[in-house]
Amino acid sequence: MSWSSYVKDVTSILDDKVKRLGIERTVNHYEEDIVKILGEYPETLELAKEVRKIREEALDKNAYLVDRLESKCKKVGIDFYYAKSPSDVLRYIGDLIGGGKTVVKSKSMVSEEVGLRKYLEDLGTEVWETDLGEFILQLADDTPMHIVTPSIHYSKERVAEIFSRKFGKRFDPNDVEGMVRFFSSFMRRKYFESDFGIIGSNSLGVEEPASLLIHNEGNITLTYNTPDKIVVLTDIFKLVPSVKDSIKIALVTSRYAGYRIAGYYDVIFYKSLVERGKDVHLVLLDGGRKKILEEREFTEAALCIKCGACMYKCTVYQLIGGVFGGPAYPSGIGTIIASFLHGVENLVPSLYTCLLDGRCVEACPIDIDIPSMIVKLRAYYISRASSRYNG
Amino acid sequence: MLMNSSYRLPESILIVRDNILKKMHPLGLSTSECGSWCIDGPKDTILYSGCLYSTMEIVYSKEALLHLVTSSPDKKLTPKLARMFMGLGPLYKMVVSKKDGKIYEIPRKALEVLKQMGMEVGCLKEEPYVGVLLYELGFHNEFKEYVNRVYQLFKKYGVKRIITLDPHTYELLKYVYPKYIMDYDLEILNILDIVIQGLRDGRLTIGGASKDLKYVFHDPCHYSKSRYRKIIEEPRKVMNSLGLRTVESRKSGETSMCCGGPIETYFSMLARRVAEARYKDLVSTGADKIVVTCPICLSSFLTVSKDESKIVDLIELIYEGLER
Repeated sequence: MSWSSYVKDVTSILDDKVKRLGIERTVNHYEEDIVKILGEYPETLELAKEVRKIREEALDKNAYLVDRLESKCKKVGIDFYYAKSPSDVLRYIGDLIGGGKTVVKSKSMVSEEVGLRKYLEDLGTEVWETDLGEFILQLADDTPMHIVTPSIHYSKERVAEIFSRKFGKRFDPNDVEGMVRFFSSFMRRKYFESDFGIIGSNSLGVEEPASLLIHNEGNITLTYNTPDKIVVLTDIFKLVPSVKDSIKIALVTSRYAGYRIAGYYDVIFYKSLVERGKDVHLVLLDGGRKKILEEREFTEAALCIKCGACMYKCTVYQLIGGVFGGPAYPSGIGTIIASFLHGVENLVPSLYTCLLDGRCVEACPIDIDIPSMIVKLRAYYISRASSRYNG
Repeated sequence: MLMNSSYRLPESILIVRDNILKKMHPLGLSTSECGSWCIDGPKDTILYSGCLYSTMEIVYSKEALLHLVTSSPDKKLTPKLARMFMGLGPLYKMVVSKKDGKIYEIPRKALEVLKQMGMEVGCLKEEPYVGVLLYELGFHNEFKEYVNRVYQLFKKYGVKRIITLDPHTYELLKYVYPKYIMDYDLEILNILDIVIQGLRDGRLTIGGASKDLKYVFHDPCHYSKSRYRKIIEEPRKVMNSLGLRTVESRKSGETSMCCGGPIETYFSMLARRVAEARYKDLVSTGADKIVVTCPICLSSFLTVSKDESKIVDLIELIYEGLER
């Protein structure tokens, strides 16, 4: 095996008019919207600078925050599990949930990274994606192409086709509301049948431990309120000292994700879940992230708040979508992060697809210098693989 | 998105590296071929093209031939043949070297502009390639060794000041070389700054452009989105002085889009798609002419446009502005 399957993926999306149209519509809207939004809320730029500082300080004391979170969780009365690797996550959650159950889950890139849904399904448990975009991908047996808008490459026509096939009745592609209504009533039944709810975190405040989640569909609120047992699955980079920090991060994240204001910002204090009788498990994944904190040249990548702005603006992404980047984390920033999660030698094609044109840096709210890191990462790769290329 | 631990760098990347290290040029041109545009020889101040214009002239004019090797990173057999072919010397040289053409002529025109301003400017008949591919592709140990060789050449010819023409050479010489060369003491000037200064103090008068045509400027990435010094207004100032009617693309300045050039060496199929997308975007402004200030952008757009008169380098415009 060599590059040929990558080249095949690139060629196939370049030639897929429907997928290209889906991506094009979204990125064009985004490019127009973000200018308007930042015009209406100019203070976002200052807040973004503050967020960079918050993230820098939080990463500097990441190890302390992890320890602190563990003791806080114990005090509050929830289970805390530190997962070194994706397989640790699967083992822990697999043992916890087991087979024959029904699970509702919200969108979580960490769950994509570890392959959680598939793993639980293989155990004989029913897992439902409660985010519409993710639900479409679940039905289509596909993977997300964007961290905020996962089914960016799906047109309404293709969605109607998938719904019609899966549910045995005809859906009109022009009646988007009708499809959304059908999805909501279908999912409502699943919430009430569910044994477990799985959520992620956009940010996690440690002092009074709480996850902050941004959503537009209201689905996350139901995901952690309806079932009795809740799993919070997130990664070590999400930790910040306080809820106040999380709120600032959430505002900047949603603005740069292209929303004036998102539909919902849920601050979920673990204490209040426990007080309402819920059984809560927090799973915190390292999965190679500590390595990014150790390799100082690349630590800047860990500041990423996952708003997805750089992806929409990326020249390559606009053409080939999530084919460019790491699994679960597309584009240039995703290539850098994934290089430490999965090994840089596995990311060579994306590493050398980046044009280094810097549109991502201009888009990034916290000014992460992605192209410079890509160049350094190429050098890092070559120096580690030099025996293959010399002589 | 693929996971496969046996990826290897594309063969064409390795050929480029080896050529630069052995022959001081990615396609194997000699320093005297790179400097063939230079007639006068060195002075304290030189105009330096980084050999990018000669190189891009070849990339553009021999595009169909190079595409056989560079179109896709999974090429296996062809690069091996290419390596043999490149080793054949004279025969290969006959195919690739090209000492005329639109892109090739630009450094000479730039030199003429500088002379018109009364400047004492020389150039190198033995001109080394600037090394941008070694740097961007990640061969940083090799880059360090290479740029020190380039630096020695500058020193050998007594060069004290260098005027650059394009964003890549400017960025490398001014901001990157000093990190890799001890006691680096060359003064690096950008031709745009010199032209603007000349316009201001009256040493340069240009203008008289026809009002019938509309021009759109394509910002090169390493000017408009540079981490070191953003150059956005400067080329526009020059265009205004020429009296051109201008329009802006919806992706201009800091949001300008790449021409695809950086992956040309090993993924020209995708590079071409990027160039097409950007070209379409620029044409959609209704402009009659696209103005560039980077030989890589020039070659990329010429390749997809096939209409040589549609794309002009800012230097060409200044040069024409002189004659009126």
